[in-house]
Amino acid sequence: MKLQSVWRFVKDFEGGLRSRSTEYVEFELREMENIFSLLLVGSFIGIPSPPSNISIKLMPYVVREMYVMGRRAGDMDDISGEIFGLFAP
Amino acid sequence: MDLRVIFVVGKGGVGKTTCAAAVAFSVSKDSNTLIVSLDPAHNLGDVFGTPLSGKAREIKENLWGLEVDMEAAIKDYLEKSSRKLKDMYGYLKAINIEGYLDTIRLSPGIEEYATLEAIEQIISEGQKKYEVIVFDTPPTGLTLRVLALPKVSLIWGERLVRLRKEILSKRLAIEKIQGEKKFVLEGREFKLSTREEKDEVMQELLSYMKEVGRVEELQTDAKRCMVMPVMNPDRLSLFETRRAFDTLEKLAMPIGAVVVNKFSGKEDEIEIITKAELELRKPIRKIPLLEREPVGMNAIEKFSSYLRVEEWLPQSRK
Repeated sequence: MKLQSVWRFVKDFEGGLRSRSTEYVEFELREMENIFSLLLVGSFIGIPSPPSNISIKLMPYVVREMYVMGRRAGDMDDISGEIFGLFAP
Repeated sequence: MDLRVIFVVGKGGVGKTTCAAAVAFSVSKDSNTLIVSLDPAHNLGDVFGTPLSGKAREIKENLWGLEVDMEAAIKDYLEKSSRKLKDMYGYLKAINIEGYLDTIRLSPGIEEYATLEAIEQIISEGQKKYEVIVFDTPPTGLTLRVLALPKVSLIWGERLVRLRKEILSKRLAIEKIQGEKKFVLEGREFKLSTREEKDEVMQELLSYMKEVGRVEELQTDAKRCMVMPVMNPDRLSLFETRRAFDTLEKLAMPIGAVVVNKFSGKEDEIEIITKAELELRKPIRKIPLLEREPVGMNAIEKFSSYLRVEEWLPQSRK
């Protein structure tokens, strides 16, 4: 029983380390996914966009990227909070 | 079979349709030919004196014609895309996908995309059956934008592919440490692809670029494609043709003979033609102002003799 608890603790600790190690890459990835969506529908807000036919073709497959863009827009007022959160111990 | 494509371009009302019909008539003497009207205001059928529709119809031996219904093409094009979109985003109320599609329907430029799609489709389906396809195009402005689209699309495609590659490589790096990642949204599960060959976005992008690349390659191949500008012997017509030349040269599209239609022999018209010869540096084909409108097969046959197509059109490599 004790051994199991120790094992679980080690596993959780390892999981924590793993997710900590990819935090920055995940943040970068979210930014890229956000940019990708912004490019596709950017014509609505005046960002240079690819011809609409490319956007229309890709739209069905970028659900995740559109979701990230929506979240990103929601978090816009606390962008510095998110960045500083990355450096928190 | 080697397909050759001719785009007949020019200002509205200069006689593009009649010239396109005459070119198609000429080449159909020894090649299986399709003539396609892309002009939203069709009158190709009227020129041949036979009704045409959205389905290719035999006009005479070796010559087929069709008039693309642009309204229906746009509707088809948007419906195809919207079905997939609604399926994927139906539950994402916040994005208001219906509103997005309605806006696209009315957005400037949609006619150009639909026209390009129609051209791509006709070429890919037609190359098994025809040796020559003649496109009677809408007035210059729209046509030039359509012809520029493949190049613009390729530039954008390359940029998006580059960005997508970076996204996938970051996802792969995360997957290697944390294992396969899934994205769940309102009960629906999406696997996040990390490899190009399994990523639908990348595959869609690459296949689109391949399609568009084929059109661009054809457009710039002087052995397979030719643009035939049509103008009238007046100053405005010459200005527009000159501007069209600039754009076509930027797009590296081969230009055949320039047809000067409705030439009545007046002095100022001769002056315009001399200018056109000097500035455009292409063979000029003068077509006299005819007493009667060239309508019907016999008139088109006579009209086609002025064009001497065989002198400037690349010969088939059969």
